[in-house]
Amino acid sequence: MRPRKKVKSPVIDSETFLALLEPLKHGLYNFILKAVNFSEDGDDVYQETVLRAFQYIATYDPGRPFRSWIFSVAYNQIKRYYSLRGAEKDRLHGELVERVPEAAEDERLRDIFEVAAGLEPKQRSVFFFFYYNRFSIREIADITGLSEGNVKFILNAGRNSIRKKMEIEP
Amino acid sequence: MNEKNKQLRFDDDFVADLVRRTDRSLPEALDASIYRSLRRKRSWWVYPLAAAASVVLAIGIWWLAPIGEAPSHRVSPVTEIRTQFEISDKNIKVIWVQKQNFDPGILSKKRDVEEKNS
Repeated sequence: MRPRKKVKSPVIDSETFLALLEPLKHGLYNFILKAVNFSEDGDDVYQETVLRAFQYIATYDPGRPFRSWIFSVAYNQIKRYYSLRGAEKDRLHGELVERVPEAAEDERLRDIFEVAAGLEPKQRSVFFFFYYNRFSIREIADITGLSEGNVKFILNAGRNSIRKKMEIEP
Repeated sequence: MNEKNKQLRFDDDFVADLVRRTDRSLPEALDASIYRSLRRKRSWWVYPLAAAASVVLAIGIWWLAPIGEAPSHRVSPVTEIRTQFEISDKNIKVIWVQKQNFDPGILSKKRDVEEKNS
């Protein structure tokens, strides 16, 4: 991949940052909730993500979409969250319906979230980047630092698991 | 339900639509808390810049302050103190000169010169 030419970030104040964040808040918040399996810590992870993004706003490259940059901050914050907590502690363990009441009403929804909950945190983030935020493979690779091949592999593995769970023909 | 699923083709948009059904609203209290925190925070460069500006301002005030002062009357350094008195009935005039580097040799020299001339 050709290295991106670094452009010096202009000074961004809190008002400008909030204006950039405004249209992305809903998608960012819900991505984080899904990526942490609707844990009660989801709100804290979201808050830490936004504050950390502002703290390091000087590292934002204006040549890159702000949306990709802030979601990469979220991705790293989620990794940090699980490195402190331990991934095993948040595998839902039968709490899916409590955390995602909608899953009680729709078996297909329950299947999808059970598959997602069984993924490693990094893979679960990739899964929801694609299926919730609708990032392209290339964008996901840019956000996560993974290769496009790796992103496709993760998504194919997720599809196969969902297909198997729902007993859908390939 | 399983029979029904077997008839469906796997579709990414279908999964995406299902995933979106679990959306939550961002809590207002959380949003407000973040907003307050961000308004309190300043960019990292503000404090060093303010400190540097304060130093420059202080130096500027110290340097420019004499311009505003009233011109002082400079007192020249004293180079000699001259004292003289007269004894008029004797027709005598005495002059004492005290120089900065008082050297009585100078007065003696003058007296010797006057005696020589007379």
